[in-house]
Amino acid sequence: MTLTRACSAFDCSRLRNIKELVNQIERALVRGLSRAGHQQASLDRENVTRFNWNDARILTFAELPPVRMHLIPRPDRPWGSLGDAGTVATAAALANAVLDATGKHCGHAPLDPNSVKAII
Amino acid sequence: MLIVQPMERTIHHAGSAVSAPDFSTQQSDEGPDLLVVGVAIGHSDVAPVAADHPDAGERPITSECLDSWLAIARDDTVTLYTGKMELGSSGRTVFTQLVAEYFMDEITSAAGVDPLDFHLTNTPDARDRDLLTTAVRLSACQPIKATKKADAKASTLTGCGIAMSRYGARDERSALVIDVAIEPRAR
Repeated sequence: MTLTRACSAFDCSRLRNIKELVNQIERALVRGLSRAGHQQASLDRENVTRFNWNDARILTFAELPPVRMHLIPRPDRPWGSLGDAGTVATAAALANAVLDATGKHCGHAPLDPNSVKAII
Repeated sequence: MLIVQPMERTIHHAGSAVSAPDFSTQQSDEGPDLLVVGVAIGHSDVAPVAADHPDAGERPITSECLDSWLAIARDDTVTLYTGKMELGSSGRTVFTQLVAEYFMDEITSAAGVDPLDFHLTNTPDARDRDLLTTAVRLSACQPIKATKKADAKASTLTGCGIAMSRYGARDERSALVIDVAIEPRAR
């Protein structure tokens, strides 16, 4: 599976340092896609039972899709931040893209190549 | 619309009673404005037990187990109040969003409705609609009207997915469209 494009729109409150904001949003995208596609932990009903940072793979530059971004300033709103907001929707967007491409439900996370291949 | 609202304080146990968030609300002539349901999330005391298990029927769900509340408002907004806190945008936030948005696209896929149209129709907030349309316009992805059939013989399957999130104390919002290409025969 190849990520061919990622397009983000952000509701930013007031804009101060656009360059740093763009960097932050891109970092959030890398983190979200890495989690959604590669990182895995085992849990029981209350605790994490297995997680190894050595296996928590981060996307490389070569794996990153081209990113298009649009910032919507809201000067009437209080100062805010955006780091985590960029991460939260990533897994859902990726899962929906796989659903659209294959027409099949993949009830498994992470959405790694083996999981996707299994549903085709 | 599903809103997840982490409660910012510890849930206090007083005897067998658990203090829930303040759900006091105006009551109209048509009845109460909220339906509130208490649930337990990740509590080992209420783990499912098979009907033929010796403990079956002997592990009632008490008020001490309740740690989350589901509030269903008259305007169809569903808010989950949970005492399960996490650090940053960790698993619970991401998975909750994943489930909410994924179910939405499963529904639209089954109904043959474009996910963006479905989002816009069911999203009353103008800021949210603005975000969604902007992200889709950037991606130039085509409306999705029908469920695709996975074709194992195809050289490449393509698809795009949309999701939106609100997060943080300052109500930060983002919408994201991701395009993927899948090669079924790739090793």
